[in-house]
Amino acid sequence: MRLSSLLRFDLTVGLWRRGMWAKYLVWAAFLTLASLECSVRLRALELGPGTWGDYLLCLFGGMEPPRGLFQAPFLWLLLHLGILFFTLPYLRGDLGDLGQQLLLRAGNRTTWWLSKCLWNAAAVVLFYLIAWAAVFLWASLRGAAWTLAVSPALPGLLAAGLPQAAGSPWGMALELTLLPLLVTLSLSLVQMLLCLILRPALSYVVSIVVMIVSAYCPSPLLLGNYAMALRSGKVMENGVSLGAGLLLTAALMVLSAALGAALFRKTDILQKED
Amino acid sequence: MSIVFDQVTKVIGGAAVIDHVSCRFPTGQITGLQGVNGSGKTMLLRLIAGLIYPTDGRVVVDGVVLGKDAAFPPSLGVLLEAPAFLPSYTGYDNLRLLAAVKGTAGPRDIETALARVGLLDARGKKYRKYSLGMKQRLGIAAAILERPGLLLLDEPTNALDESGVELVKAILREERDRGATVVLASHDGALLEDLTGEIFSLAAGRVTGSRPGKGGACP
Repeated sequence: MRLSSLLRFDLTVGLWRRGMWAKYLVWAAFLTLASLECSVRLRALELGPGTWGDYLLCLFGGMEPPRGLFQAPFLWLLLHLGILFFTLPYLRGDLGDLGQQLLLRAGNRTTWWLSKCLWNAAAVVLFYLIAWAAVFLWASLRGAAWTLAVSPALPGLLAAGLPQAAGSPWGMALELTLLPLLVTLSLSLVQMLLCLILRPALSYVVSIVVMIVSAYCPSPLLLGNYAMALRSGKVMENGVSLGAGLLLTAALMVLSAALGAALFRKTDILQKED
Repeated sequence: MSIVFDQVTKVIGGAAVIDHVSCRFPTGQITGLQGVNGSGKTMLLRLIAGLIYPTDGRVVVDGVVLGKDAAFPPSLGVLLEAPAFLPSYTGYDNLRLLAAVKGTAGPRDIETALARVGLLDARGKKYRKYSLGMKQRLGIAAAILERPGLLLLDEPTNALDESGVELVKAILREERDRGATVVLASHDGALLEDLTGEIFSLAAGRVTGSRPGKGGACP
């Protein structure tokens, strides 16, 4: 097994070179703008400077189940689809340059695939760390309280008809942080799996469809719902639960890694022109 | 390292790119593949490398059925089509990244490989600043870096000047004399004639004939 040496390559070269710095910078700039939009919204709601949790709810809250005309939650979509867009080209790109030589030297397709899965996980976590850092920095500059607790009135103000947040002040911290991350990560792995059989652009279309359909349809079977804190069982009746979200995302991650490994063992590795 | 094709067919996109090929590549020799574009030379090399697997038939390398007993030949050096490296890394660093996977080649081996292809002085230069010929040379250096038992080269003299072609010829003879099995695909009939012990002609994914070359290993 040469997983450690392949992983060393993916976590050094793969995470920090190949234009990744530019992606991190674009991402940080986008999150700064998104945070600015949040602070404007919070100010309009007359909630005062708010908390870090309020900013996260603005960004990762998504939308309440649609009633009447469907209006897509663009900011929420951009957050998830942005990361999915940034992680999309790595697999094919790597196979098109040094990755093919590394694969031949590793002598094992499964090991190579697993290394890509771990790269994917690391990249998604890194994008989230950047997002959180940008949001918390901006929120702090605007005087927000350093807590992940959500102002009790905020869910009801963001989505008409939703009650105030219940439970402990930290009650929604995982819905605001962990679940969005796990949803993006599992979808990113599914997307990488699809890249083995589809063109990357088509795999990305699948991700877009999953997220838009999730926004439209508040079903616990649709992954995107777990990334919307406003659809959590803690703020709406029949909302999705943290446990189900953890189970579904874990199952998707394991399944994508396992199916991908099985598929990649039989995948033809060709050049673009072949 | 022996290579045996046993009734190998490869279908891609509904078309047979390799069609019922049966042949044997002798151990410790340079064997040539000749044919026009699209005749199947590169696909044959990809089958030997384990990058693609047969739709029908078997490719057996040193007694190991590829895709069944092992994913890839155990000791393999490859230059397929255009070499691909990380543009922002130096030639040396690209080879260092490759060497790190197996851990069998150290800094001295990397420098030796670069020296053999005439790139030692350019080892600190970024790959994106290499000329086409230098990129090709780096591709050859990567292929021979770990002294593989099997060397697969697709048009290795592409973009090389006359001295570069002579250098490649010398390297391939050295590799053969070291005991490596070399499979060389080229349009250049004279190059194949000069270097190889046997030349397979390919057309439309089939081996249409074979002839001896002048470059068989000394007994």
